[in-house]
This record gives sequence, structure tokens and C-alpha cells, in this order.
Amino acid sequence: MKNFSKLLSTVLLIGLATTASAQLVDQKDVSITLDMQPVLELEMTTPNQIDFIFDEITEYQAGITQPGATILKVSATVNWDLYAVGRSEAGTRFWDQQVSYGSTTNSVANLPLSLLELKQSRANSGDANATGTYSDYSAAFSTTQAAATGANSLFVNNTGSATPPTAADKYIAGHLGTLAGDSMTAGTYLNNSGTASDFYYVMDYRIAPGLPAIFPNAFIADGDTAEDIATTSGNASAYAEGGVYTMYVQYVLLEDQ
Amino acid sequence: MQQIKRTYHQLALFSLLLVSALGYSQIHCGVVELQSTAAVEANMTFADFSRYNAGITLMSVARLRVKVENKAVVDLDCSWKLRMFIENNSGAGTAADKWEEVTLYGNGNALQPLISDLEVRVTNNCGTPLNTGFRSFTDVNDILNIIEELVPQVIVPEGSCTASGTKNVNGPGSYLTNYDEYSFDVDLRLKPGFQYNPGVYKLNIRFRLEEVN
Repeated sequence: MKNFSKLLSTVLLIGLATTASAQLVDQKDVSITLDMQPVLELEMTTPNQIDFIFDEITEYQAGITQPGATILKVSATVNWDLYAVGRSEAGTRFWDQQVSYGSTTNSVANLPLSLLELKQSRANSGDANATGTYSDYSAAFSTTQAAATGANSLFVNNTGSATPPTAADKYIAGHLGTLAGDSMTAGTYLNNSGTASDFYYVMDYRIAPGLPAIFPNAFIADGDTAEDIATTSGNASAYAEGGVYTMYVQYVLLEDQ
Repeated sequence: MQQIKRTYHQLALFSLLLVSALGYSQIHCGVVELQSTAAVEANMTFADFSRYNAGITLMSVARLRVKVENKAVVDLDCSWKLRMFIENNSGAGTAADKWEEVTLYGNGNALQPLISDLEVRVTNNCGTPLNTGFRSFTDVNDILNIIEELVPQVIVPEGSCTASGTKNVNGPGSYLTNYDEYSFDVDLRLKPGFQYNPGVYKLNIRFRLEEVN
């Protein structure tokens, strides 16, 4: 009886082992690959060329402003910075003189690129660690009768290159470094309240030569050191040489890293 | 003492007989087969802003075909269920609610995509799944039913949907004889937004067909 019990137990155990797991099952897989590519898009609405023609004395005194000449719209999937830099074909920090209307002892043909002033429609909200006097171009244009200021003078590299500004220089949005508050977060102007968002900037331009035409609001990148013609030439009688000059503003959108 | 030993043996034998009988009782069907096209790989590539904004919807990335046959001696308890599982290679350290990271393209917002961003819809011409809308997994522990095991057990036979729009058809049948009830289309939808790190990520959805015990 004992042996029969053992035999029966063994048979049942083997049977159980072979059948308990025999529930019928089948399965198939769908493998999903998600490829999220980084996108940085700067959409710009602007004329091909913006002309400043000074042919009246009042224009020299009051300057010429081109309001809303450029609209910048940003879309990014990564944290980003945006800056403007003055450039010339010659690769220097001066305007390219295309035509001279005649030179004199006191006339200066090297006009600094920083004489161009910018004003952005929205303050830079990514400048928490900026160290300079001015972190962006959001200040209103000063009246031409007020003291000279570098609040809006265009950032220019000493070498004339497109190298990003330092922590002391102006950005339009974001700033040098990757610490918190140094960049703008990913997003797009398409779904961020349009013109009231950090992804949409309207840029105004101004050139104010003054009389004599020394461009008093030209300052080097930090905004504290004057770069007007009289100061840089060391000649109090200096003035801008009449002629046609060209330069370009390069807007650079880059990943904050 | 001898009497106690005998009683113990009898009890053990009885238990084995009971468990064995229950073990056998799990098999009610003759064939349970889930077919699909060879290895399905779905690629979702976000390379421009319209994609990021609008998302990507992939329709019919996979078509599942069910074939459940009764045994030669018909068992009235033969029924089945179809479920979805999600896998993210969590054994390699991926968090339970995130996609598996394959590679990164650069610094972003330091956030990895969530499994819950992926939406899955499984449906067929008859609309037999109880839920025919887009659904998402919470994490890898989440299981989504397509054809559910009803408690108490209810077997909805083949052909019920055609006649009355009844859902959860789970009786023996085949896509060969009743395509609308025994085949399923899988749709995927994903709208990642802008908060995640750019990179390549992977997930795997496992569809599991089981006979109901």
C-alpha cells in the first residue's frame, strides 16, 4: 500500500509538472523607436537692406530710427541663447566704406560697428548671471540731447568675428553659461502667446550721428567704454567722413551649452 | 503512530489529486494563436516643429490576428483574453515610467520622455474591445486589456458583434472565418512637446493572447 502511494504520488507530480504550465499562450511585439531630433529655428522677417540716409541736418541731430524693422521668431527643442553681433565684410570692427565723398584732415573713415543701436521689444529673461552693465537691448532709445549711453549699442567682437558675447556683454535672450537662469527654455512662438512671449522679438534700429558726427552712443561691448570717433581717434575735432558705408547684423540662435 | 502516517499519506495523495485536476482544468482550448506581420518596428521621427507641435500618429502599425480553436472534444469553457504590456528594458536601470534612452543628441531640459506620453489604440471593424479609444500606460507595471477576462466568466461567442454590436467577443473563432472580430489594428500616437532631451529612445509593446483558465 505504501509503495503504491509513492508510485501514484510520483505519477501525479510528473503529470502536474507537464500540464500545469500548459495554458495556451501566444504573444507578439511591436517595437517603437522615438527619434527626437534637436530643432533650433530662427524665423526672421526683415527687409534685405535697411537704409539710413542722412541728408538733412535734423537727421544728424535727431538720428534716424527704423522701428520694427526686424522680427525674430524662435522655435527650439533645447535650451537656447540668442544674440546679435555687428559684422563687416572686411572682418574688422568698422563699417565697410563703399564710397567716400571726400576726406579731410579731421575726417575719420573708420566708423565703429557699435554706432548702430538696437532696441528689443521684450526684456531678456535669461540673464540671471549677467555681469555687465547692460544684459540686453531692452532699454528705450535715449533722447539725442541726453548724455551718451551704451545701453543700446550693438555688440561687436574686437576681431569682428561672430563669437558669442561674454558674460559682461549683451544678449537678446539667454546668456553665457549653463547655470540656472542663463538660458531660455525650449518652446516655440507658435503656441506661446505670440508677441508677448519670450520666443518673439521686434527689433528697432537707430543711428544717431550727432553734430559733429561722432556717434556719441557708440560704446564697446561692455557698454561702459565710449567708442565714439572723437574718443577713439584722440582728436576732439574728428568727425565721420561723408560717404556710403555698409555693415550687417548677424542674429545667432544657439543651443545653451 | 502508524495510523497518523497513513492519514498523512492519504491527505497528501488527495491534495495532489486535487491540484492535478485543477492543473488539467486550465486547458479548455485546442489552439491559441496570435499572428502578425513579421517583427513590427514603428519609427517616430520628430525632425521639425510641425511634428513636435502636432505629434505623430501612426495608423495600423501592426495588425494582430487571433485564432482560437476548441479541442476535438468541445469544451464549453474555451475562451480567451488579449492584453498589452509595456517594456523599457528596466533591467538596465531605466526608470519604470520612462522610455529607454538609446542615445542623446545634446543637452536639453534634462528630462527623459515618459511612457505615459505614448498613446495606443487597438480596435477592429466590429469594435469588440471594451475600450476603443487611445489609452496610455502609466509605467511598466501597467497592463491594458483589449479583450478582457470577465468575472464571473462570460463567453461571448463568435458572430455576436456582427449581429448586435456586442463587445468583448472571446469565444473560439478565427480571423479566417470572422475577420472583423478576430483581427485588431494597432494605432500609435505621440505628442512629446518641447520639454524632453533630444535623443533616440525605445519602448516595446507586448501583446499577449491567453486562454482564460
